[in-house]
Amino acid sequence: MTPTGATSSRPDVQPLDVGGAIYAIGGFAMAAFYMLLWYVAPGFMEASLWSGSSIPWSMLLGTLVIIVPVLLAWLCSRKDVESASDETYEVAGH
Amino acid sequence: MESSVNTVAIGFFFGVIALTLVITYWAARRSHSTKQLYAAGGNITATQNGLAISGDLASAALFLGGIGMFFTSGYDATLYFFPAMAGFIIMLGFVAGPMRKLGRFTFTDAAAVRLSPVPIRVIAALSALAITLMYLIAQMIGAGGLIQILFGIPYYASVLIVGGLMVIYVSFGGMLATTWVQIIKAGLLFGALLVMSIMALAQTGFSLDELYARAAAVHELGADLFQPGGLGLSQGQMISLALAIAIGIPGMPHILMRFFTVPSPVVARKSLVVGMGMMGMFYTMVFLVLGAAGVAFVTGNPDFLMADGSPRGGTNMVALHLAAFLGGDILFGAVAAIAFATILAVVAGLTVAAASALSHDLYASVIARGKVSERREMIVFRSSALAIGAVGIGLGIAFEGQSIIYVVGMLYSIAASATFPILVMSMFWSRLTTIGAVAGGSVGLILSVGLIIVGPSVWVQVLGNPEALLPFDQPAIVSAPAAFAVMIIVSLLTREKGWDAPAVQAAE
Repeated sequence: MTPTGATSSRPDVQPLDVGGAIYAIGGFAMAAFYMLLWYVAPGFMEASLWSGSSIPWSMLLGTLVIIVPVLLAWLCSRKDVESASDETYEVAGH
Repeated sequence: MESSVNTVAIGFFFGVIALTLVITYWAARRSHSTKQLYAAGGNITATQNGLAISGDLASAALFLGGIGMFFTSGYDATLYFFPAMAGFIIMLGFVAGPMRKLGRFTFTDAAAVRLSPVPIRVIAALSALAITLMYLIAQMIGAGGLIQILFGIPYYASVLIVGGLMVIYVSFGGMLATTWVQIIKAGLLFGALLVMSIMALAQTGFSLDELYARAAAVHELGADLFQPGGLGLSQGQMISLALAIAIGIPGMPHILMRFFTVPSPVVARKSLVVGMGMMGMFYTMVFLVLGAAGVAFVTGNPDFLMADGSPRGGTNMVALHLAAFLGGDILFGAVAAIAFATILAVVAGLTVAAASALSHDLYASVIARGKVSERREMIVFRSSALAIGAVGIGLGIAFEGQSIIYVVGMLYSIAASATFPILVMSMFWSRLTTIGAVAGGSVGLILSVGLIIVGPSVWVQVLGNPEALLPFDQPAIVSAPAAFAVMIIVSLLTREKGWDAPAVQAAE
């Protein structure tokens, strides 16, 4: 049921998924730290992965900061199971 | 190899149109209710929805714009990639599950559960419309350039063709047609990027080292091609852009709407993980291989450049020139058709979201106050799709020549400043009042749109003024915190009318 008007008792806020919040904050912090490196460690970003290589550390770190969140997301959701508390609003008819 | 009228490309192009129209016909025969039209019946599986999410997100801005931006600015193209991945995990941790639990067809349903529905639906729907229309502009620009280069027809005619097809898909096939177009497009795009990456690496004996050396040797930035700074943005603008994408992604109406196509919150979360995996692969192939390959093999190649040295069709077409270099007419035709399918899939998703904001949020819930027949709401949805198509075509023509990935960066600012604060605060902060939510959402929407309009990209390049009123285009660093702050302050100063105040206090 789509709520279309006020009722006498206001529904509660949603419970925070603490595990999900930790992973989300971790993913955001990783991206922020990576961006910080742009400014505080340009020399490291420019350095080659190995002597004589044209691949700099910036490209490796850039790739990792794209891939690691996928791993975090998998870790975050791997134990998700259907439960009664997840019943959708339209079905539950609050 | 590549000509203004490429017969192979035209063959693929009509193949894509035929396939999508067949899907639309199939979906139209099954779309006889609002639940089918808005949410594909709610029976899409996690894997299907994950693929559709990636099909919705992997837009022309990623494929054409990402490779084009690496071509001009190098490494800074990643500014559009890694914040998006952070945004997905924020969406997973905070938004996907609760929103699916609370809502029915649009994110506004979820936001309105604890607030007075009429005002919150109005501001949320206006925000959704602003975001989806901006995104439509980006896709129209990409489509216009693409069809122009394939057929040699004028830009405005190209935009008209895409707009017309988009209206047909959405009006007749609704979310079901959109979902399957997106799933097929995601598979095709993955295949195209993979083939192009392998063929690009084959040019250098599968040596990434050699590919980067070649790119650095021909680009004006030299080795700095692989370092931050190529876009020439200030630190503040870079941070603002990254912030806009990271918290804008979880507020994108057309992505949020995808979670209502699955049966439960758990399936919604699992589908997002699938979508993230696909997006991670897309981004990695573009960032790690194809960006550098575009530089290495298109720069200085007279087959793909105009007299002034710039790429034919603009930098957004570098991906197609690269395909022509790697695989001749056949790969060029296939990739052009896939890019076209990419645009069609994304514009269809955007149009569904925008039309739903008009028909479900504004018409059915606000104007008719829920007293509307299903048949009438479906008629309004289809009429809205037509109107959105017309507006999208007009704006697409007005914004001709803009970098599409840059336009996308701007619209994330609106999502980060308007929809994301409303959605998150309404679901998780018990003291939020309707007045607070509307005030904060309005400030976020007006500030983000206003600052974009007076910035260089609109004020100078679109409106033709000699100088911008403000020197930056990425307002999220100002507008998003302002939206949250106003929401909190106004909510603390007001009380929710129509609710049992003691009960609210007790809940806290």
